[in-house]
Amino acid sequence: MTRSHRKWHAWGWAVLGPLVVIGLFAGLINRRPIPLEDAAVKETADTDRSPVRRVSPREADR
Amino acid sequence: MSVGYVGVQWNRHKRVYDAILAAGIVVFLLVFVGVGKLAFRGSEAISDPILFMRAFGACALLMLHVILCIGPLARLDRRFLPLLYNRRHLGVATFVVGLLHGTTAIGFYHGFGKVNPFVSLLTNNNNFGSLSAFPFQLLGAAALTIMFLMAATSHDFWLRNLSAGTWKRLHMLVYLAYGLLVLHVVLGALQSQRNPWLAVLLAIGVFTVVSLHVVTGTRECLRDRRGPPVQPLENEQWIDVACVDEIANNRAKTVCLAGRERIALFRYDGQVSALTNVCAHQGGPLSEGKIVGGCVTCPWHGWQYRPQDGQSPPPFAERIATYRVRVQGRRIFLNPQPLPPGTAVEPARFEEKPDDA
Repeated sequence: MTRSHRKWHAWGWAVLGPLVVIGLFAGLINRRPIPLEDAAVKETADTDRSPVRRVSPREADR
Repeated sequence: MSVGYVGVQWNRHKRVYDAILAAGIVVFLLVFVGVGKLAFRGSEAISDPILFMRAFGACALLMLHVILCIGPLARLDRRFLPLLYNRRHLGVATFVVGLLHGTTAIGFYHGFGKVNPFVSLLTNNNNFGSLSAFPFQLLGAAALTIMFLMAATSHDFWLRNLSAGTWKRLHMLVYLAYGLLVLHVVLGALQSQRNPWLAVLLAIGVFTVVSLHVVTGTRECLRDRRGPPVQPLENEQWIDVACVDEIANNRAKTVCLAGRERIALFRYDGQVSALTNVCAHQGGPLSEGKIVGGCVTCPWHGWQYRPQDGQSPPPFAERIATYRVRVQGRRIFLNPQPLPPGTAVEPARFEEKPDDA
């Protein structure tokens, strides 16, 4: 690599690296809470984010 | 276009590399799907489209981690150099596996409605202010677009047309694609999958990639700043850069001068020649290569140049800058002003000791 590329590479990772790490931890810390009615039931691996959205009993009552 | 298209020059090394790559992908997918079928059965069973979508996604993410580690590892240890040789094949394969992931995901989550799947992908989630409900699929789509751009321009035809510098800058977008993909996984799969090992594995991958790049990037930049300062062009300056005995026969020493491109100082057959350290192909470090068949050979992809004039042997026509050198006693003196690419320079001769051979 040329000197210019090495400089871009070093600066790029000096900026991108911390951003990726912060994004990783922010995403993990802010994970959506598990709904109470689902928490009691063992989560199935297939039902999350299925195309048809499941409605919780509370929402169905509205 | 001024450059003609030449098909991929297959050789044994490339065939072996690609065979191992294809076998590795197939084995990973089979193991992932097999374990998924065995581990989740009955009411917990995962449907085939979801299982394959996850297998493709996990495989592409793993491959991208490997790709991003090869460069800095090759800088730290020469034993990783063979992996660098066909890194572009690995990159194209990663794009294909990522595309399979994207296709199955769009088909499954957006393909059953009245809206065009791509319109649905772009419009169905506008929660940009929420981390836990962020439209993570857009991040994956952006990363896949970057990887498509890279895969489409991966051939040497594009490298020559765009010029090595532009091509390299374009392909540095892979770092951005990596950042987008990490967020795609964190804000997507890891929001619903609560197995802590998935988060730990991703964190290990991110830490490895980021630390390798930060360490090697910083180290290389610091090396560039060291070395004696170079005077303006009009001054005739000769810098004492090395002793002949420091350089093994048919090998080179890297000369770093403050604020200048690195220079490769080659010793061969009782002579010393100096060339720019930057290969005309992809900017590979020529000083880490060796002289094969009388030609300086780049360690990355094997491009060759004659040490006396920086020209590639016929039928190739590449040229790189040369430098004037002279030897006094056993010390090598270098004039740091680069000569136009392809300029013939008389090698500096020295008397070889009997034990040099």
